[in-house]
Amino acid sequence: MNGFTQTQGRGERLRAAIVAFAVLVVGAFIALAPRAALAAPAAGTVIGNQASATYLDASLAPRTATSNLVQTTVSQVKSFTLTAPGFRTASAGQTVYYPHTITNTGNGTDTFALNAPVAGGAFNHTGLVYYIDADGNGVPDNFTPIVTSGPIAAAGIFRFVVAGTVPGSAIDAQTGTITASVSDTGTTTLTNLDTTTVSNSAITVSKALSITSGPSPNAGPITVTLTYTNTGSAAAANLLLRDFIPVGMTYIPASGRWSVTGAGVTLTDLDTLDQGGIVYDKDVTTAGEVTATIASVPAGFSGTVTFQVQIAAGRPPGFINNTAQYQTSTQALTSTNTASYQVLQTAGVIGNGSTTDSTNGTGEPVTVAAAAAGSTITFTNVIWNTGNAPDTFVISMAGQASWPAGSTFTLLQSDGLTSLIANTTPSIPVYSAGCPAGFETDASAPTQFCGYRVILRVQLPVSATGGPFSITKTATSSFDNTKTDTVIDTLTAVTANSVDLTNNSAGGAAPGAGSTGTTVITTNTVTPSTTGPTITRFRLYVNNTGSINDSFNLATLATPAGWSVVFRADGGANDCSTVGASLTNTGTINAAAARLICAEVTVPITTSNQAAAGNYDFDFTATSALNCTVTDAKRDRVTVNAVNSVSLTPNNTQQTFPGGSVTYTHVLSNLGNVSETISFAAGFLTDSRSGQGWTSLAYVDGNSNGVFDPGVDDVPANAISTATSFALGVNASRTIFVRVFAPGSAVSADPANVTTITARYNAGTASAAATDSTTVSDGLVLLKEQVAVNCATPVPHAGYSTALIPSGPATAPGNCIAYRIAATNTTAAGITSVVVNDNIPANTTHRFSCGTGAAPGAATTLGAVTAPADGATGTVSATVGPLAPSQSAVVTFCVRIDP
Amino acid sequence: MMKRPTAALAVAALWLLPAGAVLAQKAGDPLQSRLEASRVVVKDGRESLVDAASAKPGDVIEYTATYRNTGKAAITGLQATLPIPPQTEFIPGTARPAQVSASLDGRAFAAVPLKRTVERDGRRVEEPVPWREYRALRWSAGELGGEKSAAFTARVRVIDDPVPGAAPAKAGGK
Repeated sequence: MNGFTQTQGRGERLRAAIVAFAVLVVGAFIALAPRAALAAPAAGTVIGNQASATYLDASLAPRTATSNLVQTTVSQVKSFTLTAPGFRTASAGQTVYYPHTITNTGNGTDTFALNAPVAGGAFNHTGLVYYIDADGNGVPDNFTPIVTSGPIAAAGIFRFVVAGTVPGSAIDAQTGTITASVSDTGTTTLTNLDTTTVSNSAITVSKALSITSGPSPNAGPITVTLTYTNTGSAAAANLLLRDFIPVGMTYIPASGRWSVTGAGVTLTDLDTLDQGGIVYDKDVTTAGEVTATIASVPAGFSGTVTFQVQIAAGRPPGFINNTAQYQTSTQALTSTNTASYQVLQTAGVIGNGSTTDSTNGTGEPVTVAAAAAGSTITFTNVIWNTGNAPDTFVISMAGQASWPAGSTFTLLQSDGLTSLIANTTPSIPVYSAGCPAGFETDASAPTQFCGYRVILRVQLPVSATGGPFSITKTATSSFDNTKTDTVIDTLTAVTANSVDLTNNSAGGAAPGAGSTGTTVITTNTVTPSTTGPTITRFRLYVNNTGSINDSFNLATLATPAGWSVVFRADGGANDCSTVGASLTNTGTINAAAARLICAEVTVPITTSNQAAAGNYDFDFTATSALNCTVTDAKRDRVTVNAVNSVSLTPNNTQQTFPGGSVTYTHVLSNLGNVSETISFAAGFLTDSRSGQGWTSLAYVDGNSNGVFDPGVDDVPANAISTATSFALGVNASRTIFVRVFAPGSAVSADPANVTTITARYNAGTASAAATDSTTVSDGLVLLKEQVAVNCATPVPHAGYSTALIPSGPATAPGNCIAYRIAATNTTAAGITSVVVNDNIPANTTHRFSCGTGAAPGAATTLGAVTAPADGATGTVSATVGPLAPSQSAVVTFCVRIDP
Repeated sequence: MMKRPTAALAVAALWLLPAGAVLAQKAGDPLQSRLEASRVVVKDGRESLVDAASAKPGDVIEYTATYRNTGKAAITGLQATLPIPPQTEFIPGTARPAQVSASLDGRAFAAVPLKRTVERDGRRVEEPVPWREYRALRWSAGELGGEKSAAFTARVRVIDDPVPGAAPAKAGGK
């Protein structure tokens, strides 16, 4: 029972493994569904596996990851069967042959040893030896003894006979045995026990096929020969021959013959009557069976019964076994040797583009009419297994080099995601009332085949153009590499992606649609500001006119110095009236869609000298992020208006004494964007009280140092007249001095004399003016000056001036201003009881820290001073007392601007 | 009482990277994936995992697919697919995590166990699909945070049916 032992050995290992898993395995395992028969993989088979995953990355773009390939090689498991115990009747002195078959049921090639046969029973067979019986007809092919099978492939069989001679001393009804023993190269030994019964009439029947291997179908005809021999010493009666025609063999009607009646006499298949000593039928006595009864076989006689069969179509590779049976009136029913027809495996393959029709050429070439550059295309090919056994097919590709450089090719399984491992299809089954899930089916007879979908994914480079491009796929049978078929995949044309920039609206009719070169599409007119930059915006529509989604980089070809261009998202009103974040890329724009982009141009301030009147052109560009050769430019223009603006500042107020003079400083500045010629028309210098003797003169700053230099600037050459003219460039300035003379008759009670100086520019059409108010004092001239100081710094301060402190950081709340009041006796006689009063100005408070540093905060160079407390408001009062001619008293105090 | 080594040893071995294992990751992809195969050996009732370079019919192979998000940002919609190679059959209940879907063709996935409707004796009945027809497993892991890993495990058995066409052994007695 070694055969069972071997089988159980494997089963036990399996069970042990299952028991071990029971800890992990759920109860459902018990409910194993019926198993479809699948062969164990052959030794050396490589089991490959590759995991994959799909996911969305942080930007929600779908991605695929594929793991490394892991491989496991199947190793050999040895197993075989030995069939079958035989029973024969023989006469004394006769040699008997018992046919046996070794079937290699392991998964690899093995060699089997034929162990010496062992005799047993009531008599001992002599001359025990094995002979080969490759044709399976039950008798030796030759009489060379053998002791080994030689290498037998997995699922292969080896036929042999064991021969033994019944000794002459054996008597009727005695039985003797022969034990045939076979060992594999592992540890397994199997035996068959053959039994010989001695009889006076001893019929033996052997069976043979005229053709023992070939394709399916095979029209043959294949002749089945049943040879019977009576080796006994008496005639045998009623020899019954029964032969069941196995599945896969088809009986050829009216092919029965008997050697006694000769080849020319056809045994009728339906007749159950005696046909000259034989009764022969097919399907009559027993359905599916040939039955023949020969009335008598004389001693020593040998004859044959033959009929013909053919092999049906669609048989899988393997053996179609056929065993006949026989009996006589004295011999029990006995089996003949087994005759086999081996269906050989044939390979065949067709690759095409149809999932339902395996006809070569259907759906070929597989064509994709157009695809965008940078896109991914897939070709679906179906590989049909037209062989008679499951087979795998290696897919190779040719012609990739003719595709645009950078194209990548990936062969995928039928799911379109998983890569085809080792570029080899899974095992494609043969059609058997359909095809399993995962395979394509051609159900139309006679070309009933199963196919497998192989998908070719091609990633085109973004720079791809042109076409057509083809790739030739060849499927080669793994079983028979001479069986190949090709299928061609063709991409007819690559459509380039494209972009168009337009103004104000999207689409082909919008301003600037198409290629517009250097034509100015939109002009924005801007009057620049004299106080800061000016912004103007263009509405740009980026039209993705291609057929794939794309994003576009935004740029400006050239920007004038001092200008800037920023691309911004629209703020929501869809008209760039408000704008959002700045951009350098449009973000993804779907095919045939557009996006509004606001191009924000900043025009510099007039005084920058970079915003001269004129036209400024901007070439805006949008360039595909996928393919930098896909770009569009469009020209828009900013027209800058001329700005004529000249200022003359400041207006001044001073005191002098009767008969004295005072000199004022003014600055003439060009704030516009045009260089100006400054001129002075008649009446450019007027005095409101000229009738009372007030006069004035004006000078340019002769040495251009901005400061009045007595004796240098007030010379006749610098005196301004109607003939005076000078250029004043953009952002340039020129200092002008005005000297006002008070008449000796003036008194302090007079209204102020207002001197007005007027300069003309813009070809004399525009003017700028400034005024100086002058009064006289009766002897005590008060000069009040101011300076912005650090609040923590006590006196003395420098830089006191009568000029306005310009608005700025120094005048922010919390800062401090120091005041200096000089009281001068300008008369020729002494004056007495001089008191100088001044109020802490509104919105300020008295501050000690930038005054004297301690109470009272204010100071006077003569006399005594009283002042409000630190941080208080009120009056600063200095009691100076007498002042001699030309003597001065100086009062200082400091205030803090209310925070 | 004999002391038994803890199962933790075997679990730890599962995480060891076999020498020469290749980490598969395309440039720019944040997800790194690695597949390992180990053969399950049961000796004296204890399980251990050994190199799966070779296996006999009937042997059990454990596949572990490990995915690592090498990026800082989380990825979402992670679906990990493990094919069941031809010539092997999925061993039910060995999928880890256990919540898994399966497919017969690698395309359509449904929750395990798979069911199908067949006609038996003229009536349409729903029956479970045999495990050995499973051709792929898929785990829907959802989100995988930055610099996090996830592992998916399943076992298969190398097909061990007798050679087709070979009759069951009828060995003669000795």
